[in-house]
Amino acid sequence: MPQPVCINRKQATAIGGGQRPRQVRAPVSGEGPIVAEDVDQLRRCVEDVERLTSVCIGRDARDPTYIAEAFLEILVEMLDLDFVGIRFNDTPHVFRRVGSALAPADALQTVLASIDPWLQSEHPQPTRLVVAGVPFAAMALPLGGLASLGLLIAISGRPTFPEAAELLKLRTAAAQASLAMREVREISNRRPPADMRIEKPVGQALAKSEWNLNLIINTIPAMAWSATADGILDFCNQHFLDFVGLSAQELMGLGFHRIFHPDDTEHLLSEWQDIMGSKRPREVEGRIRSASGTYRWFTLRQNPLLDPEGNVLKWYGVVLDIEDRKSAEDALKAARAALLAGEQNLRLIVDSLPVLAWVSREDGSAEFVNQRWAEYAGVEAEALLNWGDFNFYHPDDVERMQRVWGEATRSRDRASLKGRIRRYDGQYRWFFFSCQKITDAHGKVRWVGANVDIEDLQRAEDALRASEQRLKLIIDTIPAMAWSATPDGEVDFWNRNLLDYCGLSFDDIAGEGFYRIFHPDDLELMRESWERVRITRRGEEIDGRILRADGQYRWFNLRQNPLLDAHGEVVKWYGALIEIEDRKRTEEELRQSQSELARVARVTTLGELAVSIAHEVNQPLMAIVTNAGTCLRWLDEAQFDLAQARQAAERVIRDGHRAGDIIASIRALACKAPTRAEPMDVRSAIRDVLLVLNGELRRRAVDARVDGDQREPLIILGDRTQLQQVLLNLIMNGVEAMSENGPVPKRLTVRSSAQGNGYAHVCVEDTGSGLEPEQADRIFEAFYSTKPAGMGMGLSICRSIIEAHGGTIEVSASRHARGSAFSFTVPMDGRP
Amino acid sequence: MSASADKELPTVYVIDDDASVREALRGLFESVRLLTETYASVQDFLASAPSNRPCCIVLDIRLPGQSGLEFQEMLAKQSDARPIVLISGHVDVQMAVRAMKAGAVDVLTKPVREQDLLEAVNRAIANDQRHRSERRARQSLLSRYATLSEREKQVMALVAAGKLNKQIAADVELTEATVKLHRGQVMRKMGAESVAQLVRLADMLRDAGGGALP
Repeated sequence: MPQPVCINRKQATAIGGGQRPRQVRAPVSGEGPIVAEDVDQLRRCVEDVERLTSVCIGRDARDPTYIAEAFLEILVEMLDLDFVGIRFNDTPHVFRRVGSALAPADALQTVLASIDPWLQSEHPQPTRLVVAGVPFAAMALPLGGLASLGLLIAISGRPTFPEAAELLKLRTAAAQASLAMREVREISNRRPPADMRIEKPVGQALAKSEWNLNLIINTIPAMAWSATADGILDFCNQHFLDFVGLSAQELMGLGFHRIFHPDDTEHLLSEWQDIMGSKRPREVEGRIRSASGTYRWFTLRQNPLLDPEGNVLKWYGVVLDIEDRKSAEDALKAARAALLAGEQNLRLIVDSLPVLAWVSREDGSAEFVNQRWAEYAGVEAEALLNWGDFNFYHPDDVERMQRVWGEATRSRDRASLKGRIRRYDGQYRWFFFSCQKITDAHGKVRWVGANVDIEDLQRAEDALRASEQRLKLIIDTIPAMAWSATPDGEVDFWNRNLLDYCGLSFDDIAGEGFYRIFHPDDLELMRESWERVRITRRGEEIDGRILRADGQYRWFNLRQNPLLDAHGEVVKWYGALIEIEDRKRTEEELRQSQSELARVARVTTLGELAVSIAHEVNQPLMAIVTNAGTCLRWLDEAQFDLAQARQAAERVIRDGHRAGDIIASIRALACKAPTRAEPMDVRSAIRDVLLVLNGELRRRAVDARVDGDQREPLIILGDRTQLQQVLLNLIMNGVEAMSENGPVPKRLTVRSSAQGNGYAHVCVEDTGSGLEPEQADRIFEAFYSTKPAGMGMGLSICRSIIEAHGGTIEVSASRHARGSAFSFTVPMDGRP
Repeated sequence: MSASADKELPTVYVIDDDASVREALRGLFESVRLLTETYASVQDFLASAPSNRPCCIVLDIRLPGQSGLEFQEMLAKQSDARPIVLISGHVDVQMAVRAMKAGAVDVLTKPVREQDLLEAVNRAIANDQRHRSERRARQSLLSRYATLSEREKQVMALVAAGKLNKQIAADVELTEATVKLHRGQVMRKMGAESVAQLVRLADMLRDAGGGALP
């Protein structure tokens, strides 16, 4: 034990302001006059006392440590002390503030060692102590009247310490501090915890138990603590200290506030107040700073120890590191949020899909249907679950659907079928069901499906199929061949019929290859026609010969039409080929017979008429000459035979008569009067003649046409056959006149009209070589011809016929740039 | 020349569609003692006219059915050498050339001068008679040659080539005596009185193309 410090009582009772000289020179002793300095000193003293009495204000003041620290802080500054400390009765620790004189560690140690025994005394009296040869005055003031709380210790090296004022201030401080602390103690209502053990350890066992407890508490992998009922931390286990890297002292009392994250502090403290108020265990979470300065999430869990009346005796708690859990939780939360959002989105999508979407169990009973399904059926979605959907399938379909479903689902992962579903308005519509099996992570099987409304499609398809069927039937049945081509004329399709007929493959005819099927003589015509059709975008008909697979050419009628879009552009060309071989052959035969007829008719009437006449006349002449020669021979002396000579002479006479008859009959033929003057349509006669000559005209490339509207009949009186002979003559004359035309177009025009004078006028115009004026004068004379091979009979006979009809015939220059116009008149029927 | 050939009377066949012409021509040919047969068409002629006597066909170019020219060309194609005289109402140069090329004796224009016609017919008949006798001679030669044995034909060819008996014997590997024997046979069978005549006969044979003279 150190020796009791010797305290100078006189000095100790002196009141003074430390080093402040005026305080030394003017002690407030109550004697002598009050000077200005004294007033000043007094005022300062009052201020200091006031300051000391107002220390313990505010929430933090509930902590005795804080109260002690606060007073020490003020006192060391206010009184310029070398050492000021507070020692509580239940702890050997001295809360202190040390001035510079005693700051060195060995000096402080000396002080602490010196005052310890002193303080052990019941009522430590002011004393003196020497540290490193320097004398210090020390005094202890009780906290509370009986020092039941502890002592306030003040040490100063000033010789005047303590002056009266100083003493006053120290006493005030001690009183205030003890008041505050008493108050705090009152509030915390601290009571020793009840030992719940039945056999309470004593002696050695107690010590061992304490030791074990200590061991457990300090080694459990959790941060444990305890606090007073008013929330003053009074214990932390080692683990706690290690984590925060602070000393127990730093953490005790209210020191633990500093370990919280600044953002959490307020929340955690207010929670802590609530917990204390409620006296119920609760968990709070917050971030705590580790020794390394990083923050980690913790859950703070505390339990109150209650006395039988339900008052809190003490709080016990653990701080659990939940950083990992927290971050996992955060991640989970984020994932959940995303999932939720995704789910909502998905749900929205599923409900908005224009299909009836559903999920079923393995057996097919519905587990989910989307909103649209419910809306379609016009019921709540629940009504469709668990086979409810079957009420909406068409009764005729259910069995088949179930069968298909059964077959599909037994063997495959997906299924599709068709069926009708009843709509809210009772109408059944066709749907296409399509579903897929999914097996989730737990091996549970579900079917996910969508039913698509195919009613319109189905209808269109049915219609299409029907029309396709019809079309196919038509295409298969009609003996025609069809093709199509791109807008620029490339063939891109031939029907089977056509390919088979030509014995070609599509590759053979692709592009322009199809031209090979045409007869070489038609090829140019075909090219031109196709060219023209493509340019004008208007189909036309053309006949041509096409090579059959067996090498034979047959006649076809080719037609084509464009498919145009809204802008009139060609989308596609379609065409058909129709075999017209038989028709063509008949036509050709007809034309040939007509042509033959025309030739015969012409021959009889024109040049060869003369040859015929010559032959007819020649025969009797031949006979006459020969008979005459024979007659002379029989009259010859050498073989005179009068009977034979007479016979020969008789034959001469007979043949001479015969020759005369022939001549007469020719005259009669040429000048024969109309035998039947009947009403007839001259225009139909013209048409007939042109028809007969059609082939001839075409062969000679003559463009023959009837001028003006010739449909109205033009009725005349005449012999149809003879007038047609005239027309035939005039037309053929015109045609022959154009035979040397070269590049000049061969155009023949026939006009017929009613003249005002009761005569019909018919005119045949050509663009041929025309006539010289003197030729025109003589052209109707018999045996006058402008043609090298002509006999000059045709126009002569024409004139005979027309004149016999009471008409006239004449020739003039054509109204065309060249050529001539032959015209005649014949009386009309019913003329005046 | 065989005398029997001349004994056959020549006949004129008239084909014309005009009855009065046929009658007039018959009258004319009979006035010069020619046998005359008349036909109205080529078909009638082919159906009934004999072909084994010297004749002349008088034909009108203009005939119903097969024309005169076509008929003439048909006969020429069949190597029928019967002579034809054509008459026609109107004969142009082209037609005449075509007829003559096909072997017509003459082409006459109606009305025909009777003297011209008779001359043409007589000339045609004479030609026909000559052709017929030549054909007969050639046929007799061929039939005689056909009676020769192969060896005799061989010997005949060598004799005709001017070889001596000795040479011939060496060529055919026979004795000269045997060659002489064959040679005599050949001369007899062919009716040749001298080697010169045999050589001429051999030439004729070659021209006729009937005997394959080695």
